[in-house]
Amino acid sequence: MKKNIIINGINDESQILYEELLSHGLDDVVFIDSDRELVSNLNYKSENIIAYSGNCISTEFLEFVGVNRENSQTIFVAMTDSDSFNLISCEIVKLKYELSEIVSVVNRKENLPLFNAYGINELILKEKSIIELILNTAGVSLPIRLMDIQSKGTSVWSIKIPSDSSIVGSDISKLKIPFRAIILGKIDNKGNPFQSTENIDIEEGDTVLIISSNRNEESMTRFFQGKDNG
Amino acid sequence: MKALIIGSSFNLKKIGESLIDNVGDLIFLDYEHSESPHLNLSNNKKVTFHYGDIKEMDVLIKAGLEDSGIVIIDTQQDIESLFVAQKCNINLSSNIFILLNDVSISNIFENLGFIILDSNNLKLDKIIKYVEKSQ
Repeated sequence: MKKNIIINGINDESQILYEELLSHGLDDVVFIDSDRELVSNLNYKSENIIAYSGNCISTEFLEFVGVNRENSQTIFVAMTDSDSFNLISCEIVKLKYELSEIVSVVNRKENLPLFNAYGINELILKEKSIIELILNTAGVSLPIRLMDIQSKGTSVWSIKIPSDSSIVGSDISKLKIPFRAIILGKIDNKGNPFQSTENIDIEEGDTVLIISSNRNEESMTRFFQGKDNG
Repeated sequence: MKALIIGSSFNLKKIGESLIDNVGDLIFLDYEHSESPHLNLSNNKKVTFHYGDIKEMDVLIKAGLEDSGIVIIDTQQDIESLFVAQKCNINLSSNIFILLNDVSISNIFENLGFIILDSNNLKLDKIIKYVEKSQ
């Protein structure tokens, strides 16, 4: 089946994506954006009209740009710098037009669970890769969200214990966490899993598995990485 | 019951004035201080004002999201109102009313559990009935 791609948002990244799509033979692509100037500039640079200005949550406009085109599989890509534009446009194409091929950029990490909760699962977190890469290089291990408990704002997390954490040497079954959380257990350096009920000490390099609210992410980092929390 | 009103449109002022006698606390939250829309309510002891980025979870929580029985949103931009409503929904099981300019997409968000009101033709009976029922 033919594929048509709608990219919501004109910016450097979305134009690079466009070039990549063309190089892979995917040439049925249109941009949408509410900024008329961006749209006309892009069209001016292109041989054909490839960008349209309009409201990305207007069903009339979405249909005009081909969201429900017959005999074609529509792929919707939300790449604006605003998470509100990305989320709401994705929801409309998912829920009204039943598109399954939806990808969105998430600009702020805080909003990631929101996209997951509403079933937008193909996500690219804009700030994550750079910040986490730098922090991890600097020896800080951030909690990693393994799975969202949908609509609850709660997740399953894993966090690696650094050598200078004050909880190294503490019994996992006796840990007192200063926020609401369930410790599921730990995985040691060799990959052996241990339940949190076992009387076993936490060691450097262990990965602790935990369920807690997304709001506790910073507290989690402080507690497991801190030097005076044991 | 606590009511959290997000935005500062004229419609929200009307809603606030109709709810004031039926709620314990009325909290207005907006980006910045904007006295005039709430002028008739600003001296009422039940009313408090909070300011900050309404798209930030911390700001919503500080304003009282977690113990509000009803949330009403009208930022005058549909996308933003819908987004804020969904942020509120993550921590809340109570009813969320959204005022939209374009109600052609209402059913999509009503199916997600939100109550949509037409900001161009505001009818308060739904909100008032809900508040009276909750008392």
